Amino acid sequence: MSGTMKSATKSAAKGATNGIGNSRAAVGVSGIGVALPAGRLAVSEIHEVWGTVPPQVLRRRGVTHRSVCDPDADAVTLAAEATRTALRAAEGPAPGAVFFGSQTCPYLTKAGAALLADMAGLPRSVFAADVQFSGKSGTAALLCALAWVGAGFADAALAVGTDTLGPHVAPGDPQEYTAGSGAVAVVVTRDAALATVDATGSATSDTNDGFRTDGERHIRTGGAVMTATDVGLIEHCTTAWERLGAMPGPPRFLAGPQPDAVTPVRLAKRLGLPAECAAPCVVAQGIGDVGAAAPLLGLARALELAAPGDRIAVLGYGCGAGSDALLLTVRAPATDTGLSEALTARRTVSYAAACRQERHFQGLDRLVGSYE
Amino acid sequence: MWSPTEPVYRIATPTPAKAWRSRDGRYRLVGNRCEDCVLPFFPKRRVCPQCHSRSLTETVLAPYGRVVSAAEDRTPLIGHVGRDSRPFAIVALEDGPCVLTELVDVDTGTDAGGEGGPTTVTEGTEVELVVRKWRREASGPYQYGYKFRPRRAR
Ligand SMILES: [Zn+2]
Repeated sequence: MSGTMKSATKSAAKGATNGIGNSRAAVGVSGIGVALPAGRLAVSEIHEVWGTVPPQVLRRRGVTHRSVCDPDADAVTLAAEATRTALRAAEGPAPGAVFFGSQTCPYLTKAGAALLADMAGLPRSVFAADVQFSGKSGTAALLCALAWVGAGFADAALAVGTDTLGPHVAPGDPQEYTAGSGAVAVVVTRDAALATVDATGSATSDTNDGFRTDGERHIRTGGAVMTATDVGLIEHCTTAWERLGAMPGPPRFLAGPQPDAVTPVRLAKRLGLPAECAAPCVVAQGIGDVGAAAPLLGLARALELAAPGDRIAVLGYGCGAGSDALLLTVRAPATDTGLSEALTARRTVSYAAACRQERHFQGLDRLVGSYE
Repeated sequence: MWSPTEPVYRIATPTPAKAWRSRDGRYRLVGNRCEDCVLPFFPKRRVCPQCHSRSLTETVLAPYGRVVSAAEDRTPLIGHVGRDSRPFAIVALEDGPCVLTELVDVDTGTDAGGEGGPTTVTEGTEVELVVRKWRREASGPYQYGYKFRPRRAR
């Protein structure tokens, strides 16, 4: 009796995973939708104004423009737009749970998930919650949705990664050169029309490489020491990656965190993967860092390019610090993600206009007439 | 709390209750349809103006339509300081009703367009629904609602 118990405990410890790990419940992605604001601000123009980062360093990051949040858009409206696309593409039951992953929700004490559920027209009986873990809020929401559906709490769940970094990064901050906005919505179901999730892994530690305290508007970074020593992104992503377990070979695609356009490739090399698996998923060149949406944007691109049977690895990283890793097997390529349309529809915005749109200038509250 | 907010209006906006009741219309064009003469309405009506029937059923209208006529508002309004003009249009929805709506991502002539840039809206331009922030209500919360943009190719 005790021997059986002992061996059971032993094997459980051996095969222990964090997340759905090896449970192999057929859960996966059945729809994915992308939304980006149309405004684009040239990085060179930010450099002209501030000059806080040397041009050769900016060039090395590989980002030429960052997406600029419209004055009437925020994390919720971008999420609603992405959700509309994702639900249109996905067939099957309506989501019974909504996980809203964002570090820049317009409300601090009110769930963005509740707004999103109403905007998506979901029934009132839906479960909704906001998920916040800085840049990995999107993958964290996706893991919650996978667990929710895997546990049988609902037949389908909606996970969203959405951020508007532009309004939340201080003018002149090194992050300002890449602070973009965007959203990705993922529909998770049991039948998983697009891809099944085979393994997951995570890593978390208290590392102050980026944060925003209550009452502060701007995201602070831990400084050059934190980024130069790799204690944040590289180490956490490596730990999460190792939790995925042994693989027969490198996955066809690696959708990594995209604080700039070169990090995913650099990460792939550190994980011993060929650069070719990370490069096709990089979309940051023309939009910058879209925070919680970034790894899921890579997933959307990978799902568009993939063929049935391909494996896709997704790595999310959030400062503060933590990482999520997912390994998916593609069942069918995604056709209607809205990604290419969102990347093509763009409007050039000047630095002054971007400051105005993202409310870096706060004018006085004026009393207006009865009109409007 | 310092956040990139619009100021709370010091002008009258609908009461929180009224705004709450109308949210499904604002978020996803929920109108209604007369059960007797199948005429669709947006926003919802209580009585059909054609046959005076009171039996109307809620229906979600298609999020697509065509521009009937477009105009531009250059009045600087509180809460809209981010933009130098507000393009408007009357949009005939695919299901019939017309809505007066603001447009986004269209060429107002002031922003530099560039390659792949915004299109100019004329009569007949196909548009699609997006949800955007309309204003802040007098009691503080953001009020979201429909706006339209040129329909993206798909
Ligand atoms: Zn009637």
